Amino acid sequence: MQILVNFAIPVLFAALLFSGIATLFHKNKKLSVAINSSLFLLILVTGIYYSVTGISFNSLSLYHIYPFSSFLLMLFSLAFVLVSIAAYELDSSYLKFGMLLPLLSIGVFSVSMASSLLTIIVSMELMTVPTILLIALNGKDFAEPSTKLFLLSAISIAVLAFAIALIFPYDSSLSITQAVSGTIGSAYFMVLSLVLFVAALGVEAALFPFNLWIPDVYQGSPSGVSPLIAGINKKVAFVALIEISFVVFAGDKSSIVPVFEILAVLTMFFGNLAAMVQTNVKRLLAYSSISQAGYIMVGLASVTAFGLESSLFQIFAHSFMIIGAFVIAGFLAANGIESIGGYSGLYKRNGFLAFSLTVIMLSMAGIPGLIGFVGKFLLFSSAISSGLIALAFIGIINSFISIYYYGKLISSIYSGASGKTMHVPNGIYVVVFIAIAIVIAFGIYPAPLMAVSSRAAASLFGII
Amino acid sequence: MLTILVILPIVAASFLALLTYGKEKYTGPVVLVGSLITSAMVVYDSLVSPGAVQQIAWFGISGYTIHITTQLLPLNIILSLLIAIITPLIMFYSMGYMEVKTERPRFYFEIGIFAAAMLLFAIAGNFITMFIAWEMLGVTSYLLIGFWYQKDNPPYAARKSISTILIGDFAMLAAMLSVWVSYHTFSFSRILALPTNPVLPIAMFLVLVATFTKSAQFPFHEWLADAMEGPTPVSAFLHSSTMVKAGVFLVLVLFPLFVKSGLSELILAIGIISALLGASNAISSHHIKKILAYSTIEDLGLMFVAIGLHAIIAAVLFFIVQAFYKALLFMSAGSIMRANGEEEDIYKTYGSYKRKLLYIPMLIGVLSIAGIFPLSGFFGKAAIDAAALSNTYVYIILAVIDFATSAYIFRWLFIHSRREPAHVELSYSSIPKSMLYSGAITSVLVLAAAIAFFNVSGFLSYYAYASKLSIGLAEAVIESAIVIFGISASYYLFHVKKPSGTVTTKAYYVLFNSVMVNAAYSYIAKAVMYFAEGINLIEEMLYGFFASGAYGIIAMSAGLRKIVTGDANDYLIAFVAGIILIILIMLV
Repeated sequence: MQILVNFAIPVLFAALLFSGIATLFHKNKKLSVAINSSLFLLILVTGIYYSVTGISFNSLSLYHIYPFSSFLLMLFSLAFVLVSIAAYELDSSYLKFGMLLPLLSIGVFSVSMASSLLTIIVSMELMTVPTILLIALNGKDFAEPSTKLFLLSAISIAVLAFAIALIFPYDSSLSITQAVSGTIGSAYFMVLSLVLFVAALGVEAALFPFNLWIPDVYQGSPSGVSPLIAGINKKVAFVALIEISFVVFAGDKSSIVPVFEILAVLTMFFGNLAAMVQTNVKRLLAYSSISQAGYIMVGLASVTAFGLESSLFQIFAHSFMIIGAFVIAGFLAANGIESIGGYSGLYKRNGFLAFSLTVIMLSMAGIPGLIGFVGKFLLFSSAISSGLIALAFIGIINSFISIYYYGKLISSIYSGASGKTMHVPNGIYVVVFIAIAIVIAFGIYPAPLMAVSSRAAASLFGII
Repeated sequence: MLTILVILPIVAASFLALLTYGKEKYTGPVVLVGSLITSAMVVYDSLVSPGAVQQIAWFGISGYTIHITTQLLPLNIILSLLIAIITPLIMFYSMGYMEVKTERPRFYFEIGIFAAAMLLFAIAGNFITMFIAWEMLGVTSYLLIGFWYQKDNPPYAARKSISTILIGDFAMLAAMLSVWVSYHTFSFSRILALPTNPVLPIAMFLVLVATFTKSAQFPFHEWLADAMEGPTPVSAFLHSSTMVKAGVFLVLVLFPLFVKSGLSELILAIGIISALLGASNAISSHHIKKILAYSTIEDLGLMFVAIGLHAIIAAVLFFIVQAFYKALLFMSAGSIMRANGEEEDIYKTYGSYKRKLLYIPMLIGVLSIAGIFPLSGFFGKAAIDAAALSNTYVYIILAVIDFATSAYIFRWLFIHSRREPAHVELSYSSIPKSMLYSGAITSVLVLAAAIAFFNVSGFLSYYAYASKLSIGLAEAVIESAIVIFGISASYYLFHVKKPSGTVTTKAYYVLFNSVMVNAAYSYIAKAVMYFAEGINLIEEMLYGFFASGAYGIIAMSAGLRKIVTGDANDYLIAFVAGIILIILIMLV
């Protein structure tokens, strides 16, 4: 039993790797999606087990398993189930997903459990390269988004390596289970290192001004990939940012606050203001997800366990909201509906999709009774309790602004003439149903999720 | 068993109802079965775990946990049993009433959720749970009153009701905030146990405003009459056990707090004004359902009078008996309208005596509301009158109201039971069975409700402040004499004299049109309107301010979009600029 507990994750990783490579040979889409999804579900079960028992240990002296990483294992494994089913339905050539998703997921899970900076940088690479391939393998039309993603992530990884190099000399250690001994007050190298970390991870985490590529890539990516980048890759960058800024730079929390604060404000305003004039729904969702990154930064800026708890809650919430939204938008884009105007009459063409998209939009706008409201409520109250009242106020103003474009989309859905009834494949139904079930269930009864994320946040703060 | 689970079957059935589009003949039975299961669970809970207070942690934040709390104290049991009895009857009645098949799923969904909200309200044990139910009631009643949204009047009536109710919601929210700030708890039992607090009177005044909006008391009573635009089952439901009872019930539950805050006199005064207004409007109206609606305003006013006189048991007794006879009268009104081609003017409806299964239950209801011994209404009225004995002025006013009540309700009966003129065609034989049977069942309940008089004192002995209930022989005789006088006056004026509905003499006009009260009311309304126009002016200025702000934001938005050029070189430049920006922040 003990062995099973300790080595479940490495064994499942091996199985994922095998499943990915096996896909190259059997070339059976159904088999591949079935095996991958069940492996992700097994990881979900493992994550739930770890989280319920509150277990904490080192596996292979490579992975650090504690409530923080168990929370992320649950979050990402469930997200991967949804993403792989959605990709199966949305992408006619699923095989590349069948092979690359397992590889990519190992990277994602490794960042969540990383115990050294080296694990983070290698795992980020392991996550990004398959993502670029997933976009690029669709042909010439997708050269532009894949090149942009490649260019920016290459720079980001290079800068990340440089940032690590700058703090390595202090302790001759790459471990992220303890704080670095140098402090920002004592050395400018430390300042530079922190700045480079934030900039490098800000690229994937969609922080302004490192996020200008986001709208192009989210919009230009194939329908199966956008939920993946928005729902998982972006969150992984946040995880790495949390691990580095709250553990490695634990001694310098006070100097992190103004940086995070200003990035939060800029990112929220950039995302929300730019979203207002968008006419393409995928692009609108891209900007909206930038603004949500800003909200997540509000929680991080308060550098307390409560702030981290609310950020983790929002990361969870936004993952499933944006996966649901992008799956619907991707499915409709595959049917030739891309602009907000094209969404008119959707409620008559398919009531379920219209209802789900409405619920997700309302949740993102922060309407009470849905998960997005609880997330924002926690975030802003954490900012207030840390004395960042101006930041909370700006966040609330941004919530108001965001109602404009979410409302525009909703009113478009419920107006206009009816068209042909749309047939929706079962996989899409399942994915969207799970997404809105999470949005509604945790919106009405958030206590369990709050308890888990609170334990995760406390355990991360407990390391140092 | 968790008490809150009682709302589950009816909620599930309501959602199932939405799935029955295309198979509408199942909609009614599905919701009826759901409501019956709910009723059985309510009865089971009140027998097995009376007095249970249960807390479920909803979510916690910075040390405070927000709970969903339910309680099954005697008052909660009384209201939830009332709902449990009346909900299935209403559902049964609606099965015949709802002729338009395609609208059935929507109707049953809305009314089912409405019933569930009221049940949740009845078992709520803290402000949060109560407020959730309160809001759900507001929203579902808006939907139900505006159910026939294709017509002209219902959307207007629905808007009127929701605007009034929103005032109450706002007051309730403010009250909850003040309670939280001063007590740091939302639980009813905790707040009742804690010593008084300087903020309490303000909070309780706000709660009172909120209850007046829900219970349609002066000056918020007008929406109730307009709410008659909704389907008849909704009226029957709204006026008997749900919605309007919510306000009175909340005051009963929190009664000691109102006494502590010194608000009894205000409750008494508003109760008297509302009862007088209701009675005078009921006596002058021509609308078959609005007469009953004004009568409800009067009934609720009487309940507030009893509360203001600290006669809790009298209030609760009247609370119980009123539910049954009002449900019955609305059901009967719906049947009469059906037989007269949905005609709503009592001077144009005829022949209600033609169907015995309709007429006899209705007669029981009318005798009960008038206050004839030994029907349940008599005990309710007499208990309140007995409580007012110590206060002569109130007693006289109550006597006038009793007289008016018996007069207007018999006017109602006499006029629509006239023999029809030759040119009018009636279809009493075509009234659906479910509408008649549910009325008949309710009439049996009206008769049975008299038992409440003998049991309610003992049942409420849990509450220390509930004094004993006693009706002296002298009061009973006086009460009956007044009622019989009212009936005779009504018989003379509306049966013997064969009125046509057009007012002729001045005395008649003054006496029965309550011209003074209405005129005063319209002056108040005008003053309020001027005030509202002033507010409107400020609002328009604010709107202009915000609109220009919004245009500015959209212009900024268009400018900001230009940053994203699509050129990867620019993105790299932004990356470097960002690094420089952060370094600057760090160094400053």
